[in-house]
Amino acid sequence: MRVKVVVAGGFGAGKTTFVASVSEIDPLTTEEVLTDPGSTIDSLDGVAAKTTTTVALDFGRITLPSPDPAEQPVVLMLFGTPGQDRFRPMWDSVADGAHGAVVLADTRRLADCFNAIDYFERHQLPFIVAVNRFPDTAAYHPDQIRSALALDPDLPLVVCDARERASSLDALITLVVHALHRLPAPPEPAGARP
Amino acid sequence: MPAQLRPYLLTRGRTRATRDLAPTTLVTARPAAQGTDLGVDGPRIQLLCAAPTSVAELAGLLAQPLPVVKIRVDDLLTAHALVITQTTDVDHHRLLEAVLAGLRRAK
Repeated sequence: MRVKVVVAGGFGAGKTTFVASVSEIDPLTTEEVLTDPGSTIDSLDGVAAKTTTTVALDFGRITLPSPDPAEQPVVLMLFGTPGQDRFRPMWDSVADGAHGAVVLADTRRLADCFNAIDYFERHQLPFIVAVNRFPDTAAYHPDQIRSALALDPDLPLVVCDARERASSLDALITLVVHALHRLPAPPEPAGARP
Repeated sequence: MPAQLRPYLLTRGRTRATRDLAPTTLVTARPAAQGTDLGVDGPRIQLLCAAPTSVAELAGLLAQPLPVVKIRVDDLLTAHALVITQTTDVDHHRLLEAVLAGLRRAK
């Protein structure tokens, strides 16, 4: 059994750090090559039209053994992906089959996560916003951040330290609880008694 | 894997896989027929896929871009040196409950 979670956020928001803090393997980086995504966005005056762009993708995983030895462990796969709008073609592939997403926000550059929030809202993928507390940033009240991001009141927002495993795990737990709430109620098992 | 080999040599000039492989697709090695040409990196990929391994993880381990690894995995699937590990239809509720319990235990 496998579960896929996307970790999105702007450049430098802490995606790689977040994946590294919870992954049981050293986080791996690979590259995806996108064809012609940036030709209308990246200004390359005097340069021939750009046809490909390379995106770095972080990968980590956590194996969660079941207390019942007869059950297979669940493998949680984490995909860190850049949140900039111009990488949008990448997101369709990354978000495909995902169970949820953590949008990492940096209060110094909150606008960097607008695109990710917009994308996950439109694709109805359960997500939470995790504000990565950098040591030198002002301590905003979560309500201030929520209002600055115009978040739905039901949308979970947590403050985390992506360097700390326990803190990142808490963010993932919040995401999974939220994703469970968003699922339709499970069908009654056949033959269940009240 | 010899890092000095250019990706286009590994893929023999191709840029696309014939199968639609996702970064999360899991593949597992199986013994290929004797004499099958697995390519220079084939045996290493087989070793890395002794247990079901995702294409994304394989790309990271091989230090090659995803599109390159997708083509190589595609080749090895065709050569019956790898198989796609099918995941059965899951009850998402049970699955997420299991993840939640697992994450709480991991803390």
